[in-house]
Amino acid sequence: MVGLSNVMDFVRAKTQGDLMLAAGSTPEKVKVAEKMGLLKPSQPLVSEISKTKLLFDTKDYVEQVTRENGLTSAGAVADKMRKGTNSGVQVFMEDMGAEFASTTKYDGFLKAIGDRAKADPGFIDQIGQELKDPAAQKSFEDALRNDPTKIQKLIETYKPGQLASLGVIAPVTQTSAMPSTPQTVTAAPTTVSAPPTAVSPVSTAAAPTTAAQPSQAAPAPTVAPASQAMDTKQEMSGLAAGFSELIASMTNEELREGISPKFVESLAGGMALNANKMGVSEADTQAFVDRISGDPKLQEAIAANLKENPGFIRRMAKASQDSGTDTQDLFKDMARSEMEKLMANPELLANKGYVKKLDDGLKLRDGLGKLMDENGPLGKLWKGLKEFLDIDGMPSFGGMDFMGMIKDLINGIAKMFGLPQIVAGNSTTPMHPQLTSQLERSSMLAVKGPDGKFTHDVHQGRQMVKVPNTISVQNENGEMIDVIPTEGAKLIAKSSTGAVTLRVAQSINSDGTVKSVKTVNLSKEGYESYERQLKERGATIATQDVSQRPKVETVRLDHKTGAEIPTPDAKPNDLDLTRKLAQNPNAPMADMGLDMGMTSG
Amino acid sequence: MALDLEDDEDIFAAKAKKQEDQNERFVIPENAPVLPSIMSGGREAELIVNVGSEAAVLYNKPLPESIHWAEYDIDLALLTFVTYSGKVQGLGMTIHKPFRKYLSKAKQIMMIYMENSVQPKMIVPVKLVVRYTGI
Repeated sequence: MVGLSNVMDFVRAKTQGDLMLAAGSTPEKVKVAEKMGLLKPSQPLVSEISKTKLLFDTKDYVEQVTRENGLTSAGAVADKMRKGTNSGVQVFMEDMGAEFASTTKYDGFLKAIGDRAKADPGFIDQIGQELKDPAAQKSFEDALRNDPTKIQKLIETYKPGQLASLGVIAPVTQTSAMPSTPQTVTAAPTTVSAPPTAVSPVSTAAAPTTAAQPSQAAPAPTVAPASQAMDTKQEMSGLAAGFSELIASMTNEELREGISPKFVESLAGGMALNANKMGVSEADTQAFVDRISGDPKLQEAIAANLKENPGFIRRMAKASQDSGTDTQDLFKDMARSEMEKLMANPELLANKGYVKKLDDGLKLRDGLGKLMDENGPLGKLWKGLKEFLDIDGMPSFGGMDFMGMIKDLINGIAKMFGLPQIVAGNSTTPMHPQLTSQLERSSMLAVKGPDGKFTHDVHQGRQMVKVPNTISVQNENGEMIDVIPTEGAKLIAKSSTGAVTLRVAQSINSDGTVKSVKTVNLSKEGYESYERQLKERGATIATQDVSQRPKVETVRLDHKTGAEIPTPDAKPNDLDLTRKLAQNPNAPMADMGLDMGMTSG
Repeated sequence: MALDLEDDEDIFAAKAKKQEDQNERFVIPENAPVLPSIMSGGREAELIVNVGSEAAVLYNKPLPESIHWAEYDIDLALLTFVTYSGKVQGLGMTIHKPFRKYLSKAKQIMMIYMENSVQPKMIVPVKLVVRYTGI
């Protein structure tokens, strides 16, 4: 995708270093910049530029640009480079970047944009204001697609406000200029299958404040105030996006060559910025930056250590640009506590073992992200985590703190609901049974049929519907019933006659994950047949006999009065938790179907 | 360096330092801003404590800020949370007597965000500090 911030950096490029900064760069971006006349084909290719040592001397470079541009601080330069990031033009360029690069249809228009941008640096901001409204962007894109020549002419003679006055876009209303209402408050999904929101609690907190702001959106200043102090975080923020792509494209050898004490200084700024984003206080992150900046020996020690692990630099750069998935959100507070520790002890970056541990954490973050991308919310995460934890081929994850924490988390939840418990709250629909149910479903997976599929097509009237593959087994009454073969099915009771009560899948998703669970009662023969047929399909069934374990006691209290709330199926004596516990302080481990066979730590 | 079999001053100093560090780390700042309680604004929550003194708070809408640690004040029967930015947020319900025995021995609380009361989306263990002066 082509972002305007990248393209506009080509406009400002005066030196090779400028170009390197401008290039966060894909061939597509370079192509569009060439079409705009902002980059001559004879200039060095970005891939070559990315290999220059300049990449690693960011601080010097920013200072140099500061002087050349007559700005008072590097922070102002960074701000200038970020200019346009939130403008409507950027969104527009993102939408149409691929079309711009791949066809000649818009070449005239692009040249006009480039010419105007070179002649008038404020041009992009003016047009950006007009395109801020999504509806305006859409109508402008439509107009451009319909008649690029007309829009080209318009750009050549463009004056602020002209797009609306000429009817190219709808006039921007007061309402449309208002900050949008926070999604998480007004558009909370109502079903389990709704797309997950990746909004963290922290960002959610900020949303209502934004919504309460006055509706008038002031245009962003093009140049930061002269009094703006040198700000490493701001500087790094402006640089990080472009660098992360470049770093990702470099070989380990190239990275090793570039890691210097100067580079460590810049890296510290970037890490501080990320720690800030995670919620570590500014005082702590600033202390981290100051400590590294003021200690050349420490910089050298860190540089020497990082040369041993260039992959860590690459993953750090990538993580700094990721917004994070739901899975990553699950564990982000743990990551924050790790960053707090690092900010307080910057010399840890010179410790080989620590950097490896941190790198393992980043690998895990990536791994979790992939699991989540493939599978969706926690229901499937559990399955993924089980596989993840049991895989022998990932030695780099073995024994690391992150893994221990994740295992402890899952085990902790399972253990919590396996012991007698007291619950109180204001929930209209109790949440704890939902949690246990989620975990139970997540521990199961349908077994594929002989054709390698979970489902088969069946005519239903004129329509074809997908029906789960089942196997027929005998129930306790001697009748044949259809059961979805389920890996991870739980044996919850076994009678003296050999009849078995099992928890199996009742319905499944197309990828074999379990939507709902039911209990089936099979005869001895039926259960043996069930086991045999599963083995024939190559599935190893780890049924767990939980029949000897007593039902978990749950006492629910009225949160206002503290009085017990009887549950319909509970016997009166079962509610007397205090008495029972007095009789038997070492209450037996009970089970809610949550013992997944995991071992802790 | 020779063994010193007499002076045990360092032992106490180390212990005191550890305690001091912990006290510094988990002290609610003076005049800390107070957020609306967890069980407010349409947010539903459940406190669960088991006989093994494992505790969890389930809630169905995101919290405004991430929780740094929790404080259980036995005297006041209150469970209070402190965010990373130093704000205070109460659970919003009295900790009734049946909880007291088990919660007072708990070391941490699992904060579990259940989106729409159904889907677990975030699981974060937070340290629990128990305060009891017997007044």
